[in-house]
Amino acid sequence: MNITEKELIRLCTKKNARAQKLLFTNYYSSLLGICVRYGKSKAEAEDVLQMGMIRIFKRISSYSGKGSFEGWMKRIIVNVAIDNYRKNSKYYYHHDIDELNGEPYLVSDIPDNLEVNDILNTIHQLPTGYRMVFNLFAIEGYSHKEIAIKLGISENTSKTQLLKARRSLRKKLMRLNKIPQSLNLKIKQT
Amino acid sequence: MKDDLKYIDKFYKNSLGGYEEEAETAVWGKLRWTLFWMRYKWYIGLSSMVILLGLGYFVSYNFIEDSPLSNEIVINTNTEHEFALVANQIIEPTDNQEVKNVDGITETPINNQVENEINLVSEEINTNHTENNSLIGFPNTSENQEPIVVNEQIYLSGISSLDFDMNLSTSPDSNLMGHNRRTDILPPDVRKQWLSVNLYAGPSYSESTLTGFESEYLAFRNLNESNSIGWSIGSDLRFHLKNWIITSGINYSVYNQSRSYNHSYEEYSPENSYFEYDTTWVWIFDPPDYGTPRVAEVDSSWVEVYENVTIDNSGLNQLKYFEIPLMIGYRFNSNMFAIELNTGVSAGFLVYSKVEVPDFSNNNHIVDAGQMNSTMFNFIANASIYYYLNRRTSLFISPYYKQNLQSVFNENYPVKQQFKTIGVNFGVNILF
Repeated sequence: MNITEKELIRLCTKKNARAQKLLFTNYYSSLLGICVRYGKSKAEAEDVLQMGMIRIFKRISSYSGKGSFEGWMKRIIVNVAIDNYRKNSKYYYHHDIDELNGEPYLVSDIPDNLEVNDILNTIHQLPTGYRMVFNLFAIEGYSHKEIAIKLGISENTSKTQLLKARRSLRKKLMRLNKIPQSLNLKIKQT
Repeated sequence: MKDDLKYIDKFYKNSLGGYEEEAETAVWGKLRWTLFWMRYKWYIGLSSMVILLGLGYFVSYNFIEDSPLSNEIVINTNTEHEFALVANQIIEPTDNQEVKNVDGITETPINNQVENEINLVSEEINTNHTENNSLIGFPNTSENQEPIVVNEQIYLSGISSLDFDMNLSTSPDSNLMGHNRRTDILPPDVRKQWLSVNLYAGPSYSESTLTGFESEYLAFRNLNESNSIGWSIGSDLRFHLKNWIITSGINYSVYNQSRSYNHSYEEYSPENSYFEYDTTWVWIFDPPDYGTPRVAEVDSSWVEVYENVTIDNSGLNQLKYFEIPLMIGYRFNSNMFAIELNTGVSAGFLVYSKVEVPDFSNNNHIVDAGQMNSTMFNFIANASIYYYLNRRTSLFISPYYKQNLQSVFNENYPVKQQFKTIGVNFGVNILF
């Protein structure tokens, strides 16, 4: 079916079921790709996707046409993922950022031969709070201030969790590497 | 200090920034129903309430009303009775001294001191009671109240009190009034009700029409598929505007079609194959001056046996829809009967489908058709006969015709299939 994005949006605004399905079919892969980064499992990601699509269909009439429609949808999906996290998380991790001073830092310790699923698994293994902060900061490009507001945590907590997430990810990536670490790592003294 | 780990961010952004994941098909299934519910929740909720209220009213009217408790609720309010009587009466100067109820059935005499007969005629009441009440300033307690019309001056002092049940005045349609009610004809005011509910169910018979693909394929399908009995159940909310009726509601319709696809073929059976010993050949090696002849080779023909194998793909193709009709009709009243003619359209929402058909490339291979239309619009028409059990409740029988206005398959599917359905619904109608 040849239909423009504008026409598709117009039909979805009118709650046309066929258009809604077409919209879902066109974008679910990329939107689910976002959801799996925030969820702990694919099932959780699919739930987030479903909630996100419902919110998209509810608010599609508010899309002004400025900017990318896909980007607009992705922002909604991210917000739904955040809401889902806030609804389900009972504990936040608060750490003093000074605790992390003095750690050795490693560069170029990422294997070259990693599959996307392996990379995704390393994110899934992160604690939920770390995962949220890392996704928002590193991939979505939010600032710590924005993350703090969205997740209801302090900026320092956001920074701490980001740092811990990075360190945890680095270790997980190193474990994935089949090359002996001694050959692959360059230790930088702090 | 943390900048040294920024390469982790960059790595993940590059690796997962445009990551795409395949979803299970069930995701859209769940989402579709959620969207359906969001879109029609008010309608479904309202219809459910109407059904429940209708059922509740039907049950209470037909079963609770006969409770002896209602007969025990008798309020003797003599003063109020006298006033109410005067306020709603017209005395006709006749010789008889008896009270007739609104339907003309003789009742107990009011009092010997009253020398005028009080005739209570429903038609007069209907035309006069509003004016009388407004003059005296006594409000009607009910729209269906059947006031007494007094044609001649009557004095309160001249009327002695009767034992009077106030509920006769406040709720004339109650069981307390039941013994005064005529049941042989339909009271005129029944026809003034403006809202009613139909609850119904019944069998249907659907005929399928196939178009849009190779005639051989369609002929093959027509040959192996036959019409079958389906059914429907539902509830309608009906607005009565004089004799015109607007009907909407919700019903659950099931369309069935029998399929009898049997594919037979011969399959080689090694177990049953055998050597045909009658065809055995023996080669004997017997060269000159060699001596004793020697059997060089023995061979028999291998007879391959093929068995008939039949794959039975018979079964029932089935489609189930929630349908929301919108019809307009006209009603002809005749005493205890009413005849209605309705026509309109209905929107159907597919909730279940199992349609197995021959594959386009290999007719012996039966596959799930899959590409179903999730919505369906139908033309509908019916002719119904109602029989009034009492003032508010009637039974009806409603033969109907329904035709799909589009194919059950979506536009991408090469074959178009439409159902023409005849059926009959049996139900109950409750007036509000």
